[in-house]
Amino acid sequence: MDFYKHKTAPIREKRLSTVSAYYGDTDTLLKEYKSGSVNQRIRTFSQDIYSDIQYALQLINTIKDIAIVVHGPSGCSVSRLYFDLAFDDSVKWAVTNLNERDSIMGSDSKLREAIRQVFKAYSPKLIFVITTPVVAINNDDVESVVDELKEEYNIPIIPVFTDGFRSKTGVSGYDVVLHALIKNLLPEKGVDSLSKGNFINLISVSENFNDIKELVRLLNEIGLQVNILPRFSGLENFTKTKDALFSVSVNPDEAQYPGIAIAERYGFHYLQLPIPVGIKNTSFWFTEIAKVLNLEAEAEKIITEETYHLGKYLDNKKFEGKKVFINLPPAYAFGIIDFLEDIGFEISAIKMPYIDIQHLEQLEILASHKTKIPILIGEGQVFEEVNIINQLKPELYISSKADNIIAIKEGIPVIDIETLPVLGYKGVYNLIDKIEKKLYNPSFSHYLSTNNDEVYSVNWLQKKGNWYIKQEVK
Amino acid sequence: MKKIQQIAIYGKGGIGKSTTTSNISAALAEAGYRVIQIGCDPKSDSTNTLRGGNFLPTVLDSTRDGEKVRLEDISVLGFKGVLCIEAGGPVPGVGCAGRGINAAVSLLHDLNLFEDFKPDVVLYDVLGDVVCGGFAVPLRDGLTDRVYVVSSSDFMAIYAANNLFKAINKYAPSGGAQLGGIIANGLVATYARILIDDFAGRTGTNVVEYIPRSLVVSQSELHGKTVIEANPNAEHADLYRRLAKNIIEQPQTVIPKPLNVTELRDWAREWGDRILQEEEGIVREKASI
Repeated sequence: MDFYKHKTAPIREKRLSTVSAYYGDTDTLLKEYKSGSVNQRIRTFSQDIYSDIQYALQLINTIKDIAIVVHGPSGCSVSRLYFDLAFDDSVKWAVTNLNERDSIMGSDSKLREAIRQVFKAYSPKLIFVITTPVVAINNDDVESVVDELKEEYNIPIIPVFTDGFRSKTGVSGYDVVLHALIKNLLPEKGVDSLSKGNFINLISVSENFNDIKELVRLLNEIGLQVNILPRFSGLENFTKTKDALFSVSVNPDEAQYPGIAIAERYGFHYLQLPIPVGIKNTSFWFTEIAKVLNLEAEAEKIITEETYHLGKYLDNKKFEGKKVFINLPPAYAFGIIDFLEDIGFEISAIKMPYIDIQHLEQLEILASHKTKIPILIGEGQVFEEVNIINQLKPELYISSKADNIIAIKEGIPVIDIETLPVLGYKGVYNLIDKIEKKLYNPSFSHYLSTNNDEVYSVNWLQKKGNWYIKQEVK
Repeated sequence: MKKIQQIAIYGKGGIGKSTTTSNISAALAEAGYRVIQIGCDPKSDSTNTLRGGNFLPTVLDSTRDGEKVRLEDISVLGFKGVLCIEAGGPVPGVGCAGRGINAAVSLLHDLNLFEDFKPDVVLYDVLGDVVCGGFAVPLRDGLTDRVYVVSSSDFMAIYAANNLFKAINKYAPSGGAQLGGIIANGLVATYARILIDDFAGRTGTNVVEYIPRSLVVSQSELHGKTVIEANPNAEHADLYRRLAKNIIEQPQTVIPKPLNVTELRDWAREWGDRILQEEEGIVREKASI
């Protein structure tokens, strides 16, 4: 993988044959992937879609001591504003506020000025420049401004090339940031990289803080220290990456790109494992890491204890035949499906923002189910989702994005795992606890559905869920 | 209000657009018309020979944030009262020149240029090939009535002309400008004239004037003047006068039928063989005796 020589990350469609528009059964999709040429579909009508800039910001926001310069017209900073309003307004940022004249004459002077201002105002240790479609269309020169000021201020200034239109898959935004971080912050393999620390790199891209805390707790129990990056990290986490024993993924879909790059640069192992969600996957994740360090026995002891308590906790809990709709990114979706099926749930349908060549094994498992499970690929597209919900009438809906509001309005109790920690053993308690509460008392969603008008007209709802998904004609 | 004749002149870079346009402007001004020449090129050198090297800030240069632009800041009167304007644009390798033309033309309208100056003729001298939407602005949305293309007998110039025909063809049905004709310029080769005639014939267009290559033109240009001003009695001055008169007094317009990629390639190949045969002609004639 010599991607890092390039200016920015390749798009997921090229790297992993990622599909971001599909509705149907798993068989067709699987067959296409196996034949070696997956048909890209397009939506002739898009209701709502996330772009790479939102994903990029989601990741960057959590890095410590930073300032962000959104390089584009002020409207392009709306997604940054969203994070301020929805989560945390402590991140320091500015927008270059490009106008027509800048788009004609070039925008480097405004970029220079904006970087100077944020540096003076906030004294960050790190500045990110998020580029937008206007800058991309104009091919504005960001690098030379960044290079010049990097030298002047003696801090890393990192251009993140979020063009907005290169990929149809928003998650590409993570890759773009990861690419930029590796290119700009990871030191070259030096002589001192021979001195290994007693820690591993835990590659976290989108997890919530308590999820990571749980995984670190487990690793600490067998005496292993953890360097978490890039999420929640600071400059020092990047510097010490090279001294780790090896790297391990949390979410393999997101960690693979940096995982392989780090492994190649420093010549140590990148361990890619299924996401540690549910009992089976958590134990597997934990054991595999312990194995590398010959700490299996220690891990085994902890696993036995944890699973014993969990077994007791899960005893007498009845979820047999309960129908659940899963709307999660692929790694989470497959992990949670695996766990929920083990405890008796029935999966009525799955929605994922994207799917790619790394998921064939899991697709295969789904395809072997007696009942065909419909799978909807895409972000937003609430109309398509309502259509499926109306047909299948699930009793529970699990998601991680704000678009779950539509399920609540349809009367389905919703679990949002964006803020609910579900990883590791503790995650199992959290998830089951939440599921029980929601199934026991669904009155909130019932109330909303009976006291709200139907969001869509009958006419709309009579259309097939894949009405707008068409095969791309070349 | 009298009808203003708005004319755009296109053609491949370096083919003599600015020279031709400036000489047409000069000839028209000499004949008593009120003329505006607008250079639509970031190089902003279209009107050089009309204004004798007088400094002229470009339209885009003057649109700094918050500053109010006045017409007198961005225009200067040149030879015989031709109003010279340069749209300007970014320095090479930066920004977007196409969008610049769009913005400059809008600004000129906002400044009531045409209402205030009351021209008879407006000439837009537009950069090169129609590489993107911005450079097509002068021929779109009814901004100009007619377009002329300057071309030599060089294949790349013909190729650029054919591209322009494609753009005219696309925009003409929705109120865009039509083609006034081809101005054949810088002709040297013996076959040049027939070659251009042939191209015009195949695309359903016509040639309005043939201008052979001439030292008088180069010399005038080096003196920073148009031929009309520097060498008013030269044969070429009369050529430009005749061209200007034709354009303004007997305009004919057509919607050209551009050649497609294969047609253009086949046509070029055919001419390539013909030119070669002409060069080798003497040998073959001897052989036939």
